[in-house]
Amino acid sequence: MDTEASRLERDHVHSVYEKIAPHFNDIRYKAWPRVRQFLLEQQSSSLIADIGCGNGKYLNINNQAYKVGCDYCLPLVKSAKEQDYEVMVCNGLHLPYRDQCFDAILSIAVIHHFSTKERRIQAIKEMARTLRVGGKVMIYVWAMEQKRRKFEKQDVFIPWNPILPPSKSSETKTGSSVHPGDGEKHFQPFSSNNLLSLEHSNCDKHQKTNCTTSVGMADVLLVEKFLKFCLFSQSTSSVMQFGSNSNSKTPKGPWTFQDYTGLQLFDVNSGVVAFEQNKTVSVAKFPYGLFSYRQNFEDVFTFLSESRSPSQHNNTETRTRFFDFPSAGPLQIPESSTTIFQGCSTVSLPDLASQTMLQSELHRSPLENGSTASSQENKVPSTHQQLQRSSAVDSSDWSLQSKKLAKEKNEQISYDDACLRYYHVFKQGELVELIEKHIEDLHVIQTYYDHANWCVVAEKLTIWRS
Amino acid sequence: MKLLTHNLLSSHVPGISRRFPLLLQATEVKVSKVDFNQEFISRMIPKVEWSALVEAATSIGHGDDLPKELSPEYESNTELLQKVHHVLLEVEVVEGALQCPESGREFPITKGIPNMLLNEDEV
Repeated sequence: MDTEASRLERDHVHSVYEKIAPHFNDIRYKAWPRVRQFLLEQQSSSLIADIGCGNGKYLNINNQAYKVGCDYCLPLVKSAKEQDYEVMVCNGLHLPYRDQCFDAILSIAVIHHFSTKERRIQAIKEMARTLRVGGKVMIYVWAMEQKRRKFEKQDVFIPWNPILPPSKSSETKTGSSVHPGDGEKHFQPFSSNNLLSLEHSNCDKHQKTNCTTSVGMADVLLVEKFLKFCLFSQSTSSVMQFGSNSNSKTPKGPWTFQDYTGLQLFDVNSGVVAFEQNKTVSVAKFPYGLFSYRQNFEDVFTFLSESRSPSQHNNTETRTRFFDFPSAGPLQIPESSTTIFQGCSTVSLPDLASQTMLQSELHRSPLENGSTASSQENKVPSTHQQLQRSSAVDSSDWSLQSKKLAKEKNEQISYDDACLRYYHVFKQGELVELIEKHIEDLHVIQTYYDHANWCVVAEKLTIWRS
Repeated sequence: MKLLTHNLLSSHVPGISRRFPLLLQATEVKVSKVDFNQEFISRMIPKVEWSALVEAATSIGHGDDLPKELSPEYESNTELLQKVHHVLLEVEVVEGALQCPESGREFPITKGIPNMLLNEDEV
């Protein structure tokens, strides 16, 4: 049982983070305010451990304390080390620290990756062991109760954004198929209605014929990708995501992809978010708060390190749309695909955060890293390669139709099948109960909901008895 | 890895009783300048396992200046605090290993990063 649990965590936590670590590294995170506050409240000369520190998002806060970070994922730890943080690789179930040595411990978005209750308890026990009496631990776990995501089960697989790898040819084709007044037909984002019609095979013949001529290679790839994505989501059958304006819809059409065309580009200098709606690029000013509101993933990237001048908006519009999978996908799905759609009762959308992040990579400001428009293009294949490397396509569950599709474009497709992250999403009160029932020397002093996470601050009361 | 970090580390190999301190070996040591903050060091000292610090510093050739026993008046001894500052924060093991004092299990330090992972058959 435990072997199974650790295998699951290896395949769907550890190895996924190793694969996606390169994408974390370029991005500067924004610390969540309450976590920052917790760190700043610690006294001078405090010893603080960040268990599951990732690339060190929180290790730069409070320079009057001594912080050590640890994580299972070596690539992320390396990234933290490059920023001169004190970090190491270890397993949260077996912390390599002496008893009661820390004044404070941070565990942000870690416990939900342990796949059994026993292991979640063990991980918290380890933190309690290494915490001094009177010391405090802050724990964040992903919440089951979220505004923008609805979970059917507590144990879920969350895909790490399947991004369609761009290629010059597809880009050109996509671009060339956009004509004034015509583009809407090809690039209108999926809406719940669109999907409903797909589900019910309502595409008329004329439309289908039309689509076979107008759909470029990029479109085909997108379709394939989406189909595959559906299949995977279906097999994990776990998560549904609702757009913020889907409240009036029936469960059949919960996908309002338009929502996800939102945060695409973010200019830190101006605080400008450019987003697409109904095929027009609008630029609006928002406070930073919007960002954290809309991005509720624990590893959400705020694009503070990304900036992009407004003048770039126009010439990247097509590309942006193209990457904005699945909204960039064509409405016209080949006939053979509709049966597959019918089977997809549960579709999880791509990880908003990582998707947007990759887009941002493409639009990196010249100021940021010296890249120009042309070198951005050079960057694209490397992302592509990374994705390809990380994709082990398992086609065993495929329908014949999608197999056929895949065969045709086999060499150009890279799916992130292997990038499904395991989460145990916590119900309200579950984390508190876990601590109060099973970890006798921790006393919960605060609990709240923050950024789609349940949070607990607990204090160590009694001396640890081993 | 700084020696203050080493001072927090302990062997987590199951089934042993003597876990601390981990024996330190270094093939590459880096010394970098860190601003001295007397109060910070003074407040840190009670949290440090002194003999383990001396032992670790000595094992990598930086323990000469440290007294074996810490005098209770360390707070007013700026010279001593500076030495402690140097050892705790300025000396770093870049390449080397940490060894469990009881089982002998070694944990490598590579590019300043200790790898404390145990194999599955060890836990």
